[in-house]
This record gives sequence, C-alpha cells and structure tokens, in this order.
Amino acid sequence: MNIEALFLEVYGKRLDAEFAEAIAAAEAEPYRFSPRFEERMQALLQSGRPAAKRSVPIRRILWIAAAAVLVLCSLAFTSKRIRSSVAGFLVQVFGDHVEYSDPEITKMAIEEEYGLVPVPEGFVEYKTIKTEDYICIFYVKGENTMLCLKQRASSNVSESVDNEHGVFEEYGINGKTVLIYLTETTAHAAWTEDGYYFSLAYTSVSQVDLDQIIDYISSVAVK
Amino acid sequence: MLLFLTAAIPGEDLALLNGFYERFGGAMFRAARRYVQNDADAEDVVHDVFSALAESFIPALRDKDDEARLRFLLVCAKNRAISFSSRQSRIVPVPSPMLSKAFVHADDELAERMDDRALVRKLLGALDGMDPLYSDALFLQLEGASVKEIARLLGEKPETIKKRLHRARKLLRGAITEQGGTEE
Repeated sequence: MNIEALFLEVYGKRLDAEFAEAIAAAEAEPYRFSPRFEERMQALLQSGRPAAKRSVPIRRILWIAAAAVLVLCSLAFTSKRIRSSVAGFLVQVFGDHVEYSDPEITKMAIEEEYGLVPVPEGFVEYKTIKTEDYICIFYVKGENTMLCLKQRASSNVSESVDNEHGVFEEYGINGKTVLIYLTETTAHAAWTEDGYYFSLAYTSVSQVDLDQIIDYISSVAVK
Repeated sequence: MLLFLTAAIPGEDLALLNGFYERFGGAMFRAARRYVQNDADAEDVVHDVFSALAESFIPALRDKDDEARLRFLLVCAKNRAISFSSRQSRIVPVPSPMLSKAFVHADDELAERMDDRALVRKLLGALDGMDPLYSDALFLQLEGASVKEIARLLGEKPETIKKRLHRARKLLRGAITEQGGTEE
C-alpha cells in the first residue's frame, strides 16, 4: 500500500476518535449560534463573499473614495431630512454600505411575534432564530428565492445594507414609511411599526418585482 | 439550498457550502470550542473557515463523501482555533493521541486489519512523536488541498504551512526508514 494512502487511513481513524466527542456533543445538544453569528453566516452563505479582505484595484478605491466624499457632502445637507423622514432610524452612509441604527422604538422585548401572514404563495417557513429582543424568520421558495424578516425590540441595534448596486427610495405603505433599497435581484426594506424595528430582505436570481415586495411588506402582521 | 447570482464562487459550490454549514457547523463549533476561551471566539473560528472556503472553494471537497468532508472541516476548525488562541497568548491544550485509550484501541484494530502490520506500527509510532499541527497539515494536503488553500483555511502564512509539511514528511520518512523499514 502507498505510504500516503496508508497515512490517510491511519490518521483518519485517529481524527475520527479525536473528534468523536465533538460530533456526539453536536448531535446530542445542538449548539444555538448567536443571532449576530447567524446573521453574518447567512450573509456569507447567501452571497458567497467573505465579509472583509477583498482586494480592490487602486483605481476603484479612488473612485469609491471620491463617491464616498460626494455622498457624505450631500448627506451633510440632507441628513436631518433623511433622519426624520425614515420614520425612526438613523441612516449613515459609508464607502460601500449604508448603516441603519438607533431605531426609535418603544418595545424592549418581543411581546408579539410578527411574520408574513399568510406565508406568501410558494414560500415555506424555513428557519427561525429567536432571542428575547430579536426574531429572524427565513422563508424560502425553491432553491433560488429567499425572504428574511427581522423584528427587533432593542434600540441598541444596527443593520448594514450594501449600497453599491442599487437605489434607496422611501415608500408609504399602509400608513408607515418604509425605506427600500433595490437592486436587480435583491430588495431590503426597513421600517418601524408598533414599537418594533423591522427589516425584510429579499434575494432571488430573477428580477425583483417592486409591487410584490410591497405586498410582502403589507402582509407583515402579528402571527 | 440557496444559490445566488452574486456569489464569488460557482453556484454549486455555494450550495455545497450551505450544506456544510447546515450539517457540520455545530460539530465544527464544538471542535473549535475546545481550544478557545468562549463561545464567541469559537463562532468566529467557524465563520473564518467558511469565509476562507467562500473566498476560494477547495475543488477536492466536491467529490468526497460527507464523512471525509466533515473530517476535513473539523481539522480546519481545530487548527484555526489553535492558531487563534496562540495569537492571543493563551495556553493551548493540544490533545496528545497517546493519552487516549480510544486512539490506542482504534490503532490496534487497524494494525490487525492491515496487511503490512509492521509498516502500520511504524507509521503509528511516527505519528505519536509528531506535533498534531504537522500531521494535520499533511492530512489536509493529502486530502487534496494546496499549500495556499491550507494556509487560507488555517489563517497561517503559506511559508508556515510549507514548514509544517516539510517537518511532517521528514519525521514520517525518518521513522519508517530508521526502524529498518520499507519506505514507499
């Protein structure tokens, strides 16, 4: 037998014995990852892109820096309007993303659980992550379309939204103001309602239908 | 699993990655948790391994069965956790296979089963005297990962991995030939 194949077999057995405890523990008592971790992992597993450490050509860095300066300058004049018109959360623009933070909410814990009511046609509720002040529900449709509804009851939260490939628009939907970020295949909506901060992320491989997104937002209600 | 157009890696690899997380994420966390001080650090380790895979998927993982994939990912999580801990100047409990009866048992059964028992014994002897970081690097390489890929997965410099591989091969070769053996 080839020594390398032998090494793989012998060492493989040792590794199996070494990890038996970890595997058994994971099966017997599945670890509940923190919401922050799940959020990062979902972002990674949806996009297939590592969060940091991207090598970017210098020319692109210069373009991004120039764009960021322009955006920040314009924000200096308009930030007050944006803050007040987005119905209760602060919007900060960075080079490659926009951050929503400090939502003006009144609930400090989840008292009523919200969801998409009814679950949109073709979707199934896939996974729920729940803590005292946070609920995140994933809905999937086939292998290519996903909705992620987040409900937060703590004002000490922030959410990042990519701003490189789409546009931000405000919409009045059922009496609430919603900030929607749209790209060709994704949408992210954020708003405050009934004392909570909500966001709804939509990802697909096909073109986003804004009317459909508005329907999803309208269907968010106490389950 | 979910596939998306914006992915940096091909859709089928991204689907595999999603599956790995669903099936093996918990075990990877447990494997990492033995070497770091808190849950958050172990979560970071798991995230870092998946980030490295998302940055550059290991083609060899496509054709392996789940057992081999799990083993591969657990080795990555363990080594990444050890590296993480050592950077934070903590005392790292590297397990000694010699101390575990389970290992001895498994090794005995293996030696009984293999044709060339003497060679297996020599190999086991070599492994006993080898730093697990060396043998883990060799394991990952023999499972199909390149030096660069191993370095990325474990959060080390390629030079560090090259040194580990060199030491592992040297110790293995030395142990097998010195004892009057039958080198490959």
